Amino acid sequence: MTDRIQIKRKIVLLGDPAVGKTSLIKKYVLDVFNDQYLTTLGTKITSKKLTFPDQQNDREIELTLMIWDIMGQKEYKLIHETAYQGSKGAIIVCDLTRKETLHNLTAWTTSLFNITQNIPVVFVANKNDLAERIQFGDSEMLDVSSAYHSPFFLTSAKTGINIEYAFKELGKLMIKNQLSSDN
Amino acid sequence: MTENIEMRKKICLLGDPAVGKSSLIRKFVYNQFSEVYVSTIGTEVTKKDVMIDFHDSSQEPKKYDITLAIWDIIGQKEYRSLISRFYKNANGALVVCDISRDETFQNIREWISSLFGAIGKVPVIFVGNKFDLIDKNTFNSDDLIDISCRYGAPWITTSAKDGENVEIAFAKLAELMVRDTLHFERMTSLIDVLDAMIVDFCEVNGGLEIGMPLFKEEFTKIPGASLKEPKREIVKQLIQSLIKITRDNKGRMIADFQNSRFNNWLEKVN
Repeated sequence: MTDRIQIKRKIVLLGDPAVGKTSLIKKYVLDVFNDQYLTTLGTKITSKKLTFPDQQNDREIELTLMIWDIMGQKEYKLIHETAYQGSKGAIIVCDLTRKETLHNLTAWTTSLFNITQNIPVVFVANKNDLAERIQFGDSEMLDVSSAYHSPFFLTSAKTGINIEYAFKELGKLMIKNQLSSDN
Repeated sequence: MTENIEMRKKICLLGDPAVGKSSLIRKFVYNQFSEVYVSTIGTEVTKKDVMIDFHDSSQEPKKYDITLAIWDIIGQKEYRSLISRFYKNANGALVVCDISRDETFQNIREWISSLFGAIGKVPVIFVGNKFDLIDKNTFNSDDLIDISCRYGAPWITTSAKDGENVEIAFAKLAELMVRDTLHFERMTSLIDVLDAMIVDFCEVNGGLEIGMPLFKEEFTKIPGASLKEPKREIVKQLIQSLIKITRDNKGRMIADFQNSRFNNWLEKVN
């Protein structure tokens, strides 16, 4: 029988207001999408389990993600800094229909790394379902994400496309990070 | 030539009995060390000036002359209400463990939450003392790194015996306190005040995970409350309801400390 080890890690979702951070989490964790936009007050935490094989050590790793949804209002610096503490990974989100949210990805990443040092991140461009209003795509996302040697995904919290992949990829990177720091 | 900026700061040294709090102070202030252990009864206050050069990106470098009032606090953590009283008006702390005794490290979490739980978030440095007693080749800093990530505070290893890093630990704390003071001096908007209030309220009531839902509940009760454009009247109302929760959770004294912090911040901005 294969061993199973359990680890629990905190991740944060960052990005401008109304890019869809809360919707992504809802879709991923509960599989519901709500068209109504409610500002996230402060922070909110949900959890989700992922399982990865660890063939090298002949075991399974069960990773519980504690997903922190942080409000997008940048002015609340202290709340952000406090919420970043202890994070082992992040999903940094922008909105395909608003180009300024793409430009802010770097600022979000910098503010995060100021607190956490380098941790695995995944970039997400959300609202891929709003085809007629999309203002940018793969090549712009590649520019940002390659600067951090990190992957990116185009997602839709409405249809659910690519959301699982984004979280799973982050989980994989975190485990890789963890295993390499163990050795 | 510009004059030095003078500041007075109160700092506390926290940690289990016999981790070396008093020895660190003695080394730092008088450059003395003694192997004889005398447990601190109640509290002792020592003073020492430190000079630091500080600049952040928005300013010219400035020289600060900081008078530290260093409070050496009883290590028996059972004296909770006494200890909370000592924390009052502290501007920062060194949270000390004995790196050769693991249980003193485990208790660091309790010490920091008792500090933040009494006076909100202040600059802190984690100090692993008695570094002279351990084998440096097998020393593993993972746990210290972990706790420093969790609380967003730096860590350092020291030896009060041979003096290693002792000055640096105090100077680094002084620098963090200057940074913190500048941050509060630069509060200009109600958003800045609300931002600081929310973090303070959460830290006092057990961290963001616990505090944020409590805050949210109170905030949404107030008609017209908005995070984007907070109004003065609403912030005032919020202060009252948050203080009431802190009083229920933590008692009158801690609520009073918090109330005066909140009102100080609110007075700063118009």
